[in-house]
Amino acid sequence: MLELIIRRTLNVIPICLVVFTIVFCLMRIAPGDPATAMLGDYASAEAVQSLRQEMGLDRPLWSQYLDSLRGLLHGDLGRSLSSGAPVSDQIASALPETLALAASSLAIGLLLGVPLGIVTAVRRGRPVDHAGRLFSLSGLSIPSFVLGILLMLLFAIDVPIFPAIGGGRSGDLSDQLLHLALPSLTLGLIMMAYVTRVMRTSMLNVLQEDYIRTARSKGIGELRVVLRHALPNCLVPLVSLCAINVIVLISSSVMVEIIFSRPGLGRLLISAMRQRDYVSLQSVLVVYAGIVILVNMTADLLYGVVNPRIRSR
Amino acid sequence: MTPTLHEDLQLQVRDLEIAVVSGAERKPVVKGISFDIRRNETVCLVGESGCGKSVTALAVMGLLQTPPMRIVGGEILLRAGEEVFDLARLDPRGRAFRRLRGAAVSMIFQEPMTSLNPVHRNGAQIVEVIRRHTGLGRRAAWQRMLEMLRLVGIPSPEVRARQYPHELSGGMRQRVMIALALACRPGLLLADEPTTALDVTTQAQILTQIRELSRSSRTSTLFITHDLGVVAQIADRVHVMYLGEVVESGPVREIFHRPRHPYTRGLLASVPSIESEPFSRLTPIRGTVADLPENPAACPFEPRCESGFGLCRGRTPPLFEVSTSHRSKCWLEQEGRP
Repeated sequence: MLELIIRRTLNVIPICLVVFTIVFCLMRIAPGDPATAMLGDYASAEAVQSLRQEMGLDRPLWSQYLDSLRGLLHGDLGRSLSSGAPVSDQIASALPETLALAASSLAIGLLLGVPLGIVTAVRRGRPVDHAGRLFSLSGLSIPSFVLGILLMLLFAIDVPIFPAIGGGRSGDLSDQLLHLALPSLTLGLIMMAYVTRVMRTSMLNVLQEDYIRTARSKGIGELRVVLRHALPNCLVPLVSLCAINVIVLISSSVMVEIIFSRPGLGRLLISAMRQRDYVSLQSVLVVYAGIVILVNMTADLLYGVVNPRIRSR
Repeated sequence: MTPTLHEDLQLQVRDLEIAVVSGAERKPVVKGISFDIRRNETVCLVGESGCGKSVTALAVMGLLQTPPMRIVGGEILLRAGEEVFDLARLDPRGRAFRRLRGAAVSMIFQEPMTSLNPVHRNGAQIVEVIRRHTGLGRRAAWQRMLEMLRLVGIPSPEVRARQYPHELSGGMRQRVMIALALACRPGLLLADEPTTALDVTTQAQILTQIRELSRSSRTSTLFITHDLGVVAQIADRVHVMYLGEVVESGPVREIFHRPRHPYTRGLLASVPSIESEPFSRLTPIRGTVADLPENPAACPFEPRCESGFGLCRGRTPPLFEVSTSHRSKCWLEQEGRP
């Protein structure tokens, strides 16, 4: 088990290198450069040229690539081209915001979606099943930015319970949690829709299995049959779904962070893109790639936990 | 009114009718069958696939797929200790039935590969039923489970108990199922083709195991099979079922040596024997099992029967008494017939 974890962690390094290289190339191919973005369209050619020199953009591409790579390998992500601040500081302040958003949305999705999936499966064809399916279908159909704005209108403006924008005062946990409520509800409700569907389908399948009949033949109550005998067998598809959806979640978090003006990775990403801030951009994207890889790795390890047949291999 | 049961009997099924009910439509699956099982006796239900034998067992367990299947008539009287219950009138989901299920009556299923829960350890699956019905503590239940595994012939039970079902072979898993079914010393064991999915050598071992264990624990057994070889090995009495009805019943020797019903004779003729001539042909029963009879008034077996005559097309025969213990549902048995 430990060996597996170490091996998988070491795998992260080459993948991040590949991502870094791709991002590096893509950005140089894309039109526009940071000097023009900073100085505006009407700047003189000399001014642009001297700024480019200052930023080191006039050097050959391979030397720029090797320099940034060397920095990355030493843990030095360089300084932002637009603000001059160290990129690692920017990421260190933005990453927790994004992780908190992703984790709380995932928690909301699972805490609401798993029970709803179970109930709709057990009460198949009854009113609660129809209502639950309608609910999850609407969750699947609504884009995160629409739901985000709707929630903001409802719970920040019409009924002002939660703050509409911002990330909360740093150091004030309750204020930060209050600011987290609407963004995580936005992503969490969408997550819940997926979880409900997968949970319902796999529960319906599992309830048909022979071992469920065996469980019933022991004379145990239906609640125990569902929770102790059926539910653990539904977890494998649920883990796969979560792995895929956390990745979707991270990408929709960019949108949600923009809507709610949260100082997370998503905002950092968008502003770096606008400024053609190569240095910040490549680091942020490598961090995103790292998150995705870690999520997949966690899912692979969880498979072993939920399924004894995988564990023994 | 508390139901009564003759003191020799463990189970008595009377006029049991089971139907697939959808809306106002009722498609009968089991059409008023009656049979009984004495204490410490092994009774076989024999018949082709789809004749209603498994459904009958599931009804006794209260595990019918409801909806669409439902008991629409008759009674199932089961002895449980000093008491007698009519299972046909108990709510299968109710507390009273759950107290009996696994304790007074238990079941071994056909598919050992899928009948154990893949995410729970073998031992824990047996411990669960012991703790549910006996009130034993964790440790005592664990000991009882190990004893059961030893009893069904599982080597090094301490190791096997901590393994998962996928680490056992089919035969081993079926032994675990037998241990599970007998763990609470039920008065009645239902075995639904427990050896069909196993290879022949394992089959013989499992059969012996079931027979010996049910004898030594004084458990009556209802054994469901389509394999007449199995019947010959294990049964005291046999009920032959065709299309949801019992067509012939009697002691196992009578059924094998003096079969009366044309269907039973057909079944026996279609089994190869070690004494038959090499390369001689087996005699199959002609036709196939009809889903819905064309002529509901006729004997259900009439379209496939070799010895049918006029009366068979006009009326369904009653169960005729051939001897005190042997009955056949065939007009051939009527007085004055050869």
